[in-house]
Amino acid sequence: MNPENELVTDRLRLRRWRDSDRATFAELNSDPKVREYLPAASPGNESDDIVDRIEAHFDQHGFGLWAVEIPDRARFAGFVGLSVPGFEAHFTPCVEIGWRLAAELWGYGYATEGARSALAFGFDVLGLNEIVSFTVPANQRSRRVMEKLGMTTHPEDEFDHPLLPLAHPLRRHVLYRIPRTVAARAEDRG
Amino acid sequence: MSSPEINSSRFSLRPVRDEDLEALHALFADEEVRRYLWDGKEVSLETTCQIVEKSQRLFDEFGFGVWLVREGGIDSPIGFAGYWHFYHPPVLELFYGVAPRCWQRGIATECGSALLRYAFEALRFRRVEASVHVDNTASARVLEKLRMVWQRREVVDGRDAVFYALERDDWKRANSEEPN
Repeated sequence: MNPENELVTDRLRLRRWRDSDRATFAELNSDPKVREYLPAASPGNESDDIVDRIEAHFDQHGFGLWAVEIPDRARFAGFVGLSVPGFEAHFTPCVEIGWRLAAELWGYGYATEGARSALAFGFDVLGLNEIVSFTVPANQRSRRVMEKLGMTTHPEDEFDHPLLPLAHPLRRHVLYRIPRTVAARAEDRG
Repeated sequence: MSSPEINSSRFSLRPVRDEDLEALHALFADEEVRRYLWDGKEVSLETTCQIVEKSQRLFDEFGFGVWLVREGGIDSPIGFAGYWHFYHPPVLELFYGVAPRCWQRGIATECGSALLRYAFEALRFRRVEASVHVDNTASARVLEKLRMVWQRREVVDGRDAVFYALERDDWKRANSEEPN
């Protein structure tokens, strides 16, 4: 049995968070490159609050946004995983896939690799019929990952994030979806 | 982490394996067992097979899944218990089922107690949740004996259910008061 409670891919370990990850995560979250498409941190929404919410999500659902470790390269690189959005929109209730990695680790396909393993977990183990992802339209880097995963987007699925103020410049979001059947076909090709 | 094989005072709990498929299916097929677990629906052998496969993968990756309950070295299991994802979106919950011929012997309570200890100590869960159909008073009684705390009644996925939870700190406190 695996003592660390984790998903393992070729290059990554997706594991539960450790207290020692918090400082690295706070540093990652203060990087302007990481923040480009994220709303400004606010009371109740600081780096540690996010980790608390991720931990509470694991407690309730048995899965979540796993801490990413890249053996020989980074003890903590950010997160990749599945979560249940805490707001209501036209596509909720649902399970979302998401990621946030340290900027110096972008461009190596780590997000895609971790996300593939999280998608497989969602479909094969959790038995989900669909997994979604969303970001602001300008976040081409994340959208590219979604597309590599086989996710697709439709203009009629665009939405305004209900947790952001009406005039907030990051309020508009694009939604990507992948149904279980498409994921299975992508795996066959893989 | 300790081995996922668990021994309570009267029973042994072992992760379900391929060769246990028929035995688990026989338990699931019992009308009294499936009445609340599967909302009375018959479960196909294929579904049971998928559950066995998923359970093995969950044990490999996360250390939990479905355990079969056996007594006194007898090969035929008398029940099952474990942690499983229920509802949509999925919620991880403690669950159990006992063959009706073995009811009224405290089997679910004893196995549930052993699984709570395993979750809080070996798996380092901070919280365990469970739910029962609102008519399933026997199962609710088990959760109350386990000192799980009533949270709410809610219709989820068309199922009228009562939700319970137990925090690790509360479990620890209760267990230090009454050492086993």
